[in-house]
Amino acid sequence: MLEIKDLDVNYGKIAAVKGMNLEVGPNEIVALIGNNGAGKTTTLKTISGLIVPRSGSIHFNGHRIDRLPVHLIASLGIVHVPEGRKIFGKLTVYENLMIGAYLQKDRAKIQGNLDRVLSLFPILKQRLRQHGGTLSGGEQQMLAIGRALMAEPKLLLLDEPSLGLAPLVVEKIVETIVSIAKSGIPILLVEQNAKMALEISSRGYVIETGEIVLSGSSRELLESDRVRKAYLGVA
Amino acid sequence: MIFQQVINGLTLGTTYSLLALGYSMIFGVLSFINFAHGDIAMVGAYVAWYCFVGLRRGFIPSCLLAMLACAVLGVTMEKVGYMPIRRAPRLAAVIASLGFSFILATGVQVIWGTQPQQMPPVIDAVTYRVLGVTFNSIQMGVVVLSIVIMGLLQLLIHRTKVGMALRATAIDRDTAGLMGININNIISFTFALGSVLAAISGIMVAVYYGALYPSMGGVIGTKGFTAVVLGGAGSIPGAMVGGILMGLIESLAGTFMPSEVRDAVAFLVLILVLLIKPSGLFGREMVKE
Ligand SMILES: Nc1ncnc2c1ncn2[C@@H]1O[C@H](COP(=O)(O)OP(=O)(O)OP(=O)(O)O)[C@@H](O)[C@H]1O
Ligand SMILES: [Mg+2]
Repeated sequence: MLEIKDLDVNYGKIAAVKGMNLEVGPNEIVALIGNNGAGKTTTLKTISGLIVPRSGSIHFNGHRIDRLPVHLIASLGIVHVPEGRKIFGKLTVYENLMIGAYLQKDRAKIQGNLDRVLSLFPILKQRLRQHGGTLSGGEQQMLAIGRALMAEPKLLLLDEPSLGLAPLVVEKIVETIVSIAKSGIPILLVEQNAKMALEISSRGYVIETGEIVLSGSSRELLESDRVRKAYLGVA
Repeated sequence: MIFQQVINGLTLGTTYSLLALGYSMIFGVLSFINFAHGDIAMVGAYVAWYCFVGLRRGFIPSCLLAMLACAVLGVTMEKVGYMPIRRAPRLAAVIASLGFSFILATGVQVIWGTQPQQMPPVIDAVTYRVLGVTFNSIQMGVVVLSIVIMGLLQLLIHRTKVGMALRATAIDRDTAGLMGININNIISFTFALGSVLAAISGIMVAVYYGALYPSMGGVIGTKGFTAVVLGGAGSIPGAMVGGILMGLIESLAGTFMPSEVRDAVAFLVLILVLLIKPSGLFGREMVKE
């Protein structure tokens, strides 16, 4: 599915991602964990084309995508839910969902997807005519995921979906992520909440200052000393 | 007397609104004031005048050709001048736009001379008198047409898919791209649309005054730009209301002051708005950005 090889990404002279190799296969949740400034967001932005890498390659379903413009990468089915949700604040909730379906042509399908998203997040149904900017943080995260689902993703990139949310809301989001993966959509999940991410994923990568320092099955990572000390706060 | 000035102000004001809309839409998607926008209006007036008078075509075909020419001009300007510096500080784009403004004004002088040209009457204007106020069919045409165009623009922006994409792009360009929106196409579309509105505005001013001259771009541009600041940058209703207010202020000021001072009124309004309420009536604050 997604294959990243020897990826280098720079901001000017500063290297943010160094020699990264990473894969996401069909039907799996893959976790990418790391501390502030490790390069997680940079990785996702490079996959979706918001940043052009310095060197290396990214392939998706046989297409080389690392030099494609953002909208063409989106049209291949890679859907990026950005850090901080990035809801269109002055568009209504309904418009935010419909703009998720921007590339979809079939009206009946769009309506079907809308019904599915609204049954997944019933709270959005009561808010359809409201501006996206008036929603609470949790509602905005639901809207961001709902907007992504409207695009019928073939690969979902989630950047810190649990950030700043109350525990109950996190639980709801986690449930949703798991059920999306079960429906057959692979997910690359970026999180600082390493415990949550490793519990729901099948494999994981640990990134420190732009380099993958550890990778393996999520169960192994949860038990490794290095992860326990640095990310799970276990002495 | 006052009512007469209100009618005149309304006529001028709706043409400023059309111009202000372009400034505001371009500011919305690219966050800079395109100072060449008034000159696009001037070029529109010249192209229409040349087809109508020089080539003896019908007035409507002349206008359509001018609109097309301006759309192409606006899109080219963006591709050549603004796209390469899209990620640079916005001051770079402002300076580039001043360069384009100079190029357009000079270009027109080279082709059609520095002297003002006469715009012959396009229709036999009928004059009406109602309760001591006179107005003619040209004034009515300008106001009605402007209002219809603004209504259509509102529909386009709020009821169509491309309008939704335009609004999303104005809010957050990167995230709009993630939705699969081709940002370059939306920006080109914005320039094309803004330039067509500018052409209509320039033609209306030329018809209304019966004259056109190379520096008119700067003169009406200042008013359109002030209308945007008055209404609030990036706001579509703000541009419409701001334009009409500018026309009214200018026209009423003309009653109480010598007419040479009239064009300076725009600057006075500009300074006052920036001092008192920099975000304008409806919009976001421009100076900070
Ligand atoms: N636009 C930018 N210009 C320059 N440097 C940047 C830019 N964006 C990020 N960086 C730097 O690149 C590095 C990686 O940043 P990135 O946002 O990818 O980290 P992250 O792992 O997502 O962190 P967080 O968990 O805080 O979101 C950091 O050192 C950051 O300061
Ligand atoms: Mg991040």
